[in-house]
Amino acid sequence: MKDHEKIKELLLPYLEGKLGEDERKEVEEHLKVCEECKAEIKKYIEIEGGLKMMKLKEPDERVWENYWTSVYNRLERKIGWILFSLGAIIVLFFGVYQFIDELLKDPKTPLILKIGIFSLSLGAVVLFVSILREQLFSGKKERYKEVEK
Amino acid sequence: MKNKLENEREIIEKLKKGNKRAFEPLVKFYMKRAYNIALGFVHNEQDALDISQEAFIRAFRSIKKFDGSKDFFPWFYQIIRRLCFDYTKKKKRENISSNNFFRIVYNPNGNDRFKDILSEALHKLAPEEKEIIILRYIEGLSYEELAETLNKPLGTIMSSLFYIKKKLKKELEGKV
Repeated sequence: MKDHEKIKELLLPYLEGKLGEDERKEVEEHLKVCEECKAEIKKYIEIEGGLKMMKLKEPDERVWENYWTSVYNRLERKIGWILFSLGAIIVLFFGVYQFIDELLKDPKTPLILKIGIFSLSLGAVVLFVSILREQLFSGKKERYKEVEK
Repeated sequence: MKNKLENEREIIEKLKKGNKRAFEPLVKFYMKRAYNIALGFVHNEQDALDISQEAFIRAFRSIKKFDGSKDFFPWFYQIIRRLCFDYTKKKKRENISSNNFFRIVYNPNGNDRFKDILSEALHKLAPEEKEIIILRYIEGLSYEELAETLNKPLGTIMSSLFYIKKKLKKELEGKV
């Protein structure tokens, strides 16, 4: 026969029906004589009852009716934004390239300005690649680490 | 409670081909579950709604990476979870307090105080504990489904649930 403390540990598995035949009988026998365990199991039954009848605060029914439309619109909009951003980047880069190219080819442009433009362009490219790499790779890795926690 | 959509694999195949409209039954089937899970983490109805919708959008965008031979929900769950962690990390920095969103609608012992104290005790649980309670008692997932969704051994899930109930009992002691 198990002692009182060990039986106490078996009360929850007993309620969940997770005990073998022998242990189940032992718990039942103990419950006939132990007032403390009887009170404890009553408390667990109350908690279980409360949990089974638990609800979360839900939004209005109209939110569910419009949920799919909202997801669909956001989905379309997101694709629109991606295409728009891609286009904007291409146009911007092309414009800047044309402008710099003309400045560099112009013999009237002072050498110091040409050096400045070259340094500025190189810096912009390095920064762009660095940010892009961080967004695509490092960011993702960090988020996965968070999930593991 | 039905935990999985019957023609899920067929839908996934259509999604992989880029058919956005095929997403509708899947979204409608999992929307409340997605919202409840997000609410368990973020404690704010509007943000939970936004996060759940964002999770569907991300799932659609990365559906090609999903192994169609497996169940959709455990994979989708990881997307919501990741979004919630990002959100809570951000909110922690902003130090915003949260509302209690648990509501006990049944009063097992005729004592109204019991309902209030139990929902308060639920609110005090850690996010990882809340997610187990929500998936088990709101979404009706079995122990096996919980283990698959949370990617943990069955024994760990069972002992976590036992531990949570003990913790709730301790919270109720002397108050009810």
